[in-house]
Amino acid sequence: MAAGKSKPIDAQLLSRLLDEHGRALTLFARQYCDSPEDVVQYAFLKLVRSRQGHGNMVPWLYRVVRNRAISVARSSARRQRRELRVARRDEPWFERDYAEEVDARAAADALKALPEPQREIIIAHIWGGLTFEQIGQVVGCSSSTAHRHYSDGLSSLRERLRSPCTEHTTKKN
Amino acid sequence: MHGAHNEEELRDVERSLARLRPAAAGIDRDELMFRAGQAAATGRAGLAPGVAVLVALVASLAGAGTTWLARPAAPERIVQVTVEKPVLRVVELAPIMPAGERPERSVARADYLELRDRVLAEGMDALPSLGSAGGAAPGGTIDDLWRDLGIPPRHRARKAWAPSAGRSAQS
Repeated sequence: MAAGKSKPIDAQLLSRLLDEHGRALTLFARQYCDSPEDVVQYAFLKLVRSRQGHGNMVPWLYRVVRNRAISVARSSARRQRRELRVARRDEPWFERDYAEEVDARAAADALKALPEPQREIIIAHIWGGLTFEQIGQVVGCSSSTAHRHYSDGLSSLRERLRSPCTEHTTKKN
Repeated sequence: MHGAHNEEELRDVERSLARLRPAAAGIDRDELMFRAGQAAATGRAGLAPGVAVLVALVASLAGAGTTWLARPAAPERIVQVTVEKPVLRVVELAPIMPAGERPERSVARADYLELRDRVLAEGMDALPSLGSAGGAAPGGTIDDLWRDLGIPPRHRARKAWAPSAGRSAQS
C-alpha cells in the first residue's frame, strides 16, 4: 500500500498516490457518476487541504470518492442524468487487451449489470486492493457482509462471462 | 466437493478480472498539482487568522482569569463609626492686668519716651534741670552725689574732672 503510515502530504506523495490509485479510483467513481475525473481530483485536493496524512489514506480516498460521486449523481437533473447514463456506457472502463482471456468490454458490461453493492465491492477489492474490512468502512457495512456481496457478485460475473467465452471457445474449435 | 469447485472457479474469475487494467484516468496531472499547491497555500494562509483569533481568545481568558484571581480575598465591608463632635466651650480667663492699673515701670518708660521725643524735637534745652528733674537730692552737693553713687574718695579726683570742674567752677 502506498501510504499506510500517516505522513504529511507533499507533491511526491501526491504524485505517487495518483500513479498507484488514480485509475482504480476513477473506475470506482465511474460506476456512480459521469465525471469521475472531477470526483477523483476533488478527493486528492481534499486530502491536500486536510494537511495531514491519514493512517489509511487509500480507504479514506475511496470513501471521499464514493460520497462525492453519489452526491454529484444525485444533484444532476433527471434529463441530464438520462443523457449522461447513455454517455457513461460509451466510456471504456478497462483498457482493451486482446491477449486477455476476459474481454474488457464484456467485463465492463457484466459489472454494470450487477447490483450496486456488489459492483462497488468487487471494484474496490479487485482493482482498489482494499480488504473487506476496509471496504466495510467505505460503504458502511460489516466485513462479512462485504465478503458475501463480493462472492455473490463474482458468481454473477462468472455466469455472465461464461457464455461469451464458451461461444468463443466453440467458434475456435 | 461442489463448494470447493465453486470457490476455485470464483478465484479463476477473480484472477481473470484482475488482469484487466482500468482505463487511464483523464486527470490532468499538472492541473492537479497546481491546484494542490493552491490548496496547500490557502490552507496556510487561512491558518493565520485562525491562530490570531485563538491567541486573542486565550489572552482575553488569561486577563479575565488574572483579574478574577487578583480580587480581594475578603469581601469589602462598610463599618460606620460615630465620632463625637468637639464642643466649643468658652473659658473665662482671669485678666492679666486689672483694668486701670498701670505698672510703675511702664509709667517710667512712657516718661522716658516722651522726654526723648522732646529732646529730638527741641534739642538739649528740653532737658529739665537737675534740680527740677529730681535726679539727685535737691539742694545736695557733689559730695552727696559721689556718696550716693558709691564712688570711693580716692577715685573722685580723677572721675570728677569733667563734671566736677564745671560744677566747681559754677559753684
